[in-house]
Amino acid sequence: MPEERSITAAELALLDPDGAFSSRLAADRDVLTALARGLSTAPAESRQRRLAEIEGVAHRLGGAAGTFGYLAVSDAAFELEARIAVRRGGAEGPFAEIQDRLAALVSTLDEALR
Amino acid sequence: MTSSGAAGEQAGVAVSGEGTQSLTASQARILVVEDDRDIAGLVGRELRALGHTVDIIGLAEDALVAARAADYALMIVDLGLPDRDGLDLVREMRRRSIEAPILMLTGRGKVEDRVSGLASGADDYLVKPFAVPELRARVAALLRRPSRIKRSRLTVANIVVDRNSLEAVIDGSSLPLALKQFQLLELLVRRKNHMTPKRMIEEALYGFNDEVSGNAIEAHIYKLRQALRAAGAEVRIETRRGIGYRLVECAPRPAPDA
Repeated sequence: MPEERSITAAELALLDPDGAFSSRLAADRDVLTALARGLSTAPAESRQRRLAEIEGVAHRLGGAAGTFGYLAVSDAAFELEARIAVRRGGAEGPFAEIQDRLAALVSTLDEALR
Repeated sequence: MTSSGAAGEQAGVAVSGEGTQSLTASQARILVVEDDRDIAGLVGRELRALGHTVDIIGLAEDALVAARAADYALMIVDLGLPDRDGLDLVREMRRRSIEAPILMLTGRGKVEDRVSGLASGADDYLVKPFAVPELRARVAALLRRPSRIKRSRLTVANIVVDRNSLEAVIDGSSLPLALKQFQLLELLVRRKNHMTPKRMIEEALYGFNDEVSGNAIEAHIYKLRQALRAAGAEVRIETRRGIGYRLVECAPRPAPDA
């Protein structure tokens, strides 16, 4: 499905004629950056709460970004969501992996917004 | 809810069913239940470009009200809604005999969501992210399906009249009615908001050779009113002396004090 598609600039413009989704990408990027700040040193309860928020943003972004043609953003968001879900499910994966995925998503958003 | 706005603009769910019956398959009335403004806006834009009338709602409870008020040809329901799980919403719609086809939107990679969606009463699913041409194709396929089952059922407020099974259902519970009262209810429901002359009722309920006593129709109306009131039907039958009867929707009665 989405990974098999390639989206042209013209198609992107048709999907998002008023640029509203592009603005949302920028807003989501800022939210993710704020939530990531100090995440590794935050108390456990605060960290869990912030991870849940990040997971929610990633889930919504994964579904919406791919639909609007931002396929790399969608993939990065879903990878982050999946990594957080695994940890939430009880598996103690390295926390650094989540941070890496989060950084990768922010970087992909930067690339898309450029 | 609005026909031109986006998800989240839900002040008042005033759905007009006017003109629904005259819409063709290529001009269907479609309900989109999606809280993501961007996705809802995109879906609405695409469907309107195809000539459809689109109502967008962001909350499950508002969607339930709208689905009962209007005769949608198709509903597109997101699985993750803020006030209620999308699966619950689909189950509730089916329980209330809302028969419009449902296309469920689900998250990527969650097979169990897709299976649960179909098991709950959805007719098809579309995985997010989706390609717009696939959305169009699935919508077209669902709208092409025969609507025989839907036409066999008439819905007004919380009442469903099934002409195949000769059964009336109120809030999911069967309403025991004699045949003549069922036929009377069906006629009034079909002519909802319109005055139905007494002579028309007599012709619908009795054959040419039947003896009809002077107050037979009044007696059927009386019994039907009693049955509807006892079952909590959100309709009333108005009388216009010398002319006939009219069935109209009314607000639900408040529950009695405990």
